[in-house]
Amino acid sequence: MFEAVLFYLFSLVAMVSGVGVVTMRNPIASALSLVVCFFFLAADYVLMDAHFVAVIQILVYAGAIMVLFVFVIMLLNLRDGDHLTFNDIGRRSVVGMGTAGLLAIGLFTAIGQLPVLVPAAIDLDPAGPAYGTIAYIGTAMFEGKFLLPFETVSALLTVAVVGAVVLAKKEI
Amino acid sequence: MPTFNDLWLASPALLLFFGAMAIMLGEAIVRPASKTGFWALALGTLAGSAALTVVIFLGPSADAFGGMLRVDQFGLFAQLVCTLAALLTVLFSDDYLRALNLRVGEYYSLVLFGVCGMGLMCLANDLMMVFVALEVMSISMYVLCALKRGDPRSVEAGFKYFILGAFSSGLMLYGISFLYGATGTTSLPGIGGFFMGQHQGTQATLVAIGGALLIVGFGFKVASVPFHMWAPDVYQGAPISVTSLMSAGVKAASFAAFARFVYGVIGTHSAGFVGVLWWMAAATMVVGNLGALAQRDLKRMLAYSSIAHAGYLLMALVAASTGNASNNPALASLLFYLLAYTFMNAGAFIVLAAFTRDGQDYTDIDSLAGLGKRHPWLAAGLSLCLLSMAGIPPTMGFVGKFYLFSAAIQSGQVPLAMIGALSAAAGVYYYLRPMVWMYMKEGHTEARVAPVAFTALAICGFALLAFGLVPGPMLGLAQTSLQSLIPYTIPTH
Repeated sequence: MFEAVLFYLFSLVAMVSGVGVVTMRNPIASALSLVVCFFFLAADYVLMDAHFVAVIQILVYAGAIMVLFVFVIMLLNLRDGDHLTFNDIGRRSVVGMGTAGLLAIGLFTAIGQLPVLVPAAIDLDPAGPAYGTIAYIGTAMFEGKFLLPFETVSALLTVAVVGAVVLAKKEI
Repeated sequence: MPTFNDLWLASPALLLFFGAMAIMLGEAIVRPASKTGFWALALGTLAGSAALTVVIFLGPSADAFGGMLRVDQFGLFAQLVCTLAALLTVLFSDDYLRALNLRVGEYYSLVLFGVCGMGLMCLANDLMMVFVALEVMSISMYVLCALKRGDPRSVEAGFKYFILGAFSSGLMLYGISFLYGATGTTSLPGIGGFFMGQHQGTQATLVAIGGALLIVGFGFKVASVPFHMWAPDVYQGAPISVTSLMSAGVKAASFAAFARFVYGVIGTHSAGFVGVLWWMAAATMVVGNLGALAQRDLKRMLAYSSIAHAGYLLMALVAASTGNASNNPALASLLFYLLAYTFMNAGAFIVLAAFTRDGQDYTDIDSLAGLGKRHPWLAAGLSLCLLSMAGIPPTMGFVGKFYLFSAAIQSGQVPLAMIGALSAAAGVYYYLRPMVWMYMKEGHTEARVAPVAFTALAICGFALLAFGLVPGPMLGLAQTSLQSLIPYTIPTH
């Protein structure tokens, strides 16, 4: 019971800070909301027994990637007048909001039809005590069926790095 | 652990990956060198990959990497079409890039990476694999679109494609997570089995939302209405060779994965999804053909024409999910049409690339004026491709359209086939207009085509005529390819 309460509490904070990322006018405030969002997502992962993913979430996203974000924002050296404004979107935002609203209604209907999970019904150890450990994930990735997607992701990252360099470098 | 057989079945994609890496490393080591070497290496890698695909095609179909890939003749046929699209593109790329003053070795590397992703996507049998392969393909394409960095249009194309593509990928991933939540698996046979088993009907809303979001993701990649808005700008802004690869290769790979999903998973079980696809197909055919009427820029016109062709192919998907499951003519005509589209599309873009000089593309319809007198062979090649796109006999495009529409009618989709035929008839106008410019107007725009590019054009023209006059063997091959495709949800009794 206690875990379920914590889970929904953390999720709520994560969602509120997620909305904050989009609505904050100051880029630094946006970035900091994103850090909060990442931290509380990591807390949710812990509650779902995915300890390794939670640690990686903190190390990679909340740590390394956010530092990069903040550095870039600092380097851009925005003044007060440069903050993003949404005036030029105008009428199109009505269509966008309408579509987003429809999607939201669909999602709420779907989620509303799910059986409510009573805490006793939550299986805390879905795949034995090893679930969520580094060894478990490593086996699934390198010996189990996720080998090919894992290796393809490394190709994906290579393409992304090559692409970024090709587009950003002064002389190629 | 992967067995040797797993690696062998994935070898066409692996070879492309290694080729791309070799070009990238070569670019770092041997610069400043002639880029023609990389061009030859890319060509060789693509040819080798195509040869491997053919050899695997002749073997039995099998699962590879623990069910992540389903190496069957259907997927291999589509993979071969993607490789062919890339081969034809690379053939004219060297001279085109020289005319564009864009001698970047990474170009070939990114093309090979993209085709590697396309190939994996054709074979992917698990939504996880579909997504990762789709991203490998898409990211290569985003970068290739923006490769003409000095040209604001090219940068705009890359940026627009990237932002919208990333958004649609996000929606698709969201849909996959819903399907996973509803069924507990990401593998297509697993999800299909869930529908067939006793769970059928439970969590219908989750499945509906997941499926709808996946359709949005695929719909974006194949540029179907209402997710087509990006296509004209991106096709126009990207370098011509990239547009050629994008419209044929990305379309073939996306349709292969889409067909596997529609035919294998949602198929006959969900009338709602088929209804959605019906409306998408109808709107795509109409909007594509009507949109092309007003275009004066040939690249833009071909972009709308590519949207219209996506509509015809969607019609095949609708027919496939409503028609008779065994020996499905709709999917065979889909494969055949993808091949036809690859030839006619590449041919048209090769001719457009002939006008490029001093780093500038000339794709306005006025550049075609008088081409018939000065370069009769180029004009003939373009005319053949346009006639094939319009579906006029004796070209391959006519045969493809004929089988596509007859398959739709056979499976009871008469109204959809009517909409398609009417909009295709309207489309004949814009396919014939460039020919009026070529043969009936005076003009003096320069055009220059290198022997290699001309060979590619000749291959396209020959294939269009040969498969148009004698379609039997290729159509038979497409039909046999289908027998390996397993419909997961259709009970076999």
